[in-house]
Amino acid sequence: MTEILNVYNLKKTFPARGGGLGFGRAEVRAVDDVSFAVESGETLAIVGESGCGKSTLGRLILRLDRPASGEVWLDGARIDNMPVPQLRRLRQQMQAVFQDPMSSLDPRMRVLDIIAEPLVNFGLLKSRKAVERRVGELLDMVGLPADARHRYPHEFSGGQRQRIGIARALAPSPRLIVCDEAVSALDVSVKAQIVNSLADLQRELGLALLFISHDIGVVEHLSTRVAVMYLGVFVEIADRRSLFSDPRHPYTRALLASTPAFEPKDRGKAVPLRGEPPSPTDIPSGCRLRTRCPHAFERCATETPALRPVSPTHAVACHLDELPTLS
Amino acid sequence: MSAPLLEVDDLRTSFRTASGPAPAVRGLSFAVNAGETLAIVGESGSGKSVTALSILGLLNARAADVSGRVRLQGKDILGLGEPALRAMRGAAIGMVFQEPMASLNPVLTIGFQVGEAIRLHRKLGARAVREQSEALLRQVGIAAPARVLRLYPHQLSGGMCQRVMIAIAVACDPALLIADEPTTALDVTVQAQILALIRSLQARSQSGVLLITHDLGVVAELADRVIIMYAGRKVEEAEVETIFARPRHPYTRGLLAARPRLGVSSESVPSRLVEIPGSPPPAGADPPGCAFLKRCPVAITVCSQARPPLVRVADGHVAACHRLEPACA
Repeated sequence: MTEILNVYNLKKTFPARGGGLGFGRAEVRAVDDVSFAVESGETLAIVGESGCGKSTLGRLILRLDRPASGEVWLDGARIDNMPVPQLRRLRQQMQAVFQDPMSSLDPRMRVLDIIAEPLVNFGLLKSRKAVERRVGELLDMVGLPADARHRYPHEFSGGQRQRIGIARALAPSPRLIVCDEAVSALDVSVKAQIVNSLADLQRELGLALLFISHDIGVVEHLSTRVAVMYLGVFVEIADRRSLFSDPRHPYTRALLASTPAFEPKDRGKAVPLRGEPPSPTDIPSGCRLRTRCPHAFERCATETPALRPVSPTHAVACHLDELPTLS
Repeated sequence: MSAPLLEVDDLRTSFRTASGPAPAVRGLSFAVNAGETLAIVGESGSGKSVTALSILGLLNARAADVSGRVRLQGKDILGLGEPALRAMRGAAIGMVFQEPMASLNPVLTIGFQVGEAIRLHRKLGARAVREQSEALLRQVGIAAPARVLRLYPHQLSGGMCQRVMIAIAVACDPALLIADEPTTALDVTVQAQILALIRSLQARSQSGVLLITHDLGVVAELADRVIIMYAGRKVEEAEVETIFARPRHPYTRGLLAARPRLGVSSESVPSRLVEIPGSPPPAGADPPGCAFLKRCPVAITVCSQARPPLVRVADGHVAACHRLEPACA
């Protein structure tokens, strides 16, 4: 397997107001020293709650935002500091699908023009005929009828719009697609369709997906590997099977344990994590979870746990070797 | 048997649009008893939130026509004048909506807003209002109520704001609590806290709860009885255990099957989710047959010709489907 995306020690800070009278500049450490790789053909899911930095991480990788430090490499080329003209050519390798298809599709453009735009912009196909043929293929791939090409985004349902967004992302034959909460706004019945389509397309085309989501249930159905993010850092990263069958970090366990019951007989068994995530301007010393962690001890306040391997495909950032088993 | 707390009979709500009336709720009847949680479940556009707004009289009369009958504690409340509605909202009926940040006024302190909920309905002195506000915040699990009362909404997290909203909703011990997607905007670790809070508050107060949600996980956690809505109509209603264990309508079955289930990772390849094909009919469309026809795996000719009526399939269990007996059972 070859690595299509490499991220090294990526950091992003935003200035925050606070401190009063302009003194004591506060800083939001949205992404704080994150490193990972995505292999071609795999789905790496990044899961975490709001404010954990997962969307910022996605934007840094897409170069929609510049990191404070660290490096992003796409297909062997460093892109975080690459001049824009050069970057533009590489962009076709990396496309994006966002949460709200209504705001990411131009309401005044017909579907044909929306999907053709990357083909034309990247100069991939010269003749109008070739473009139209390719758009036809793409519509078919994402399960939209051929006559969809002459219609406008508002004429489609939410799920269909997300299919248009996916077709546009696929148009320049990218090797990596960053999906930021791509199915979160969809209704249950339609969400399943889109998750399955993404999985099929990925397998057929050998795509790599970076699937950013807060929905751990969807992640389990779509991912090859999973990274769990909390307050700007990865607290655990593992292959899908180990993460769900043997979660090691207290936060990963809390995410799994607080998922609502699947059936009424399991009601009331969800174990809430106490409190709420601290403000990203006020990150606790040592381990970031310690203010909410049921297992925290002195060392957690003084020393930041580093990601350490517990198996060749599983790493966790926690001082405890063995967590007490959950009752 | 005593009369239900809330009785809704043939509720119809239709929006006036430039292209004619767009019906959102097409004849919905149900009842909520004291001490009971009734969940109305549906996807976007099913009419579930419009149902709640219609009951509360919160739809603009120039934009929507509401007809039917809504009785709270035996008293008709549909078409009440604004003063009577104001006296009822917040007192007899408490409300919790999806976006706590958008429901709280950003320029007023939490103390003012919680206090207002008490002052509007009870004649109490400033000190008594403050004491009661503190007690309410403590009741919803806020550890330092005196401090939080002095803060503004933006200084609180989403979960804390939702606790404040719940405190306001239960300030006057309402007989009925309407909760429209109360945890949808919250993170999963916080959602579990809020669900536990709603459950414990209800156990204590014995009020009725009308829970509006798209999330069957929330239903599994809170509901006693469930109504499944599709395209403005009830397609199934039953006790919560029955809905999950023996769903009869193909749409209910599809919804339950389409949920991702945690703990399937023993398989080395991710399993596919079960899909419901197609998408809900566009708003306003009302073909003569079953609204679920085009997505239904068991549809037959009659389904395109006649709308299936709601029929009783067991005690306390109704469904609207032509294929209930026996093939689909």
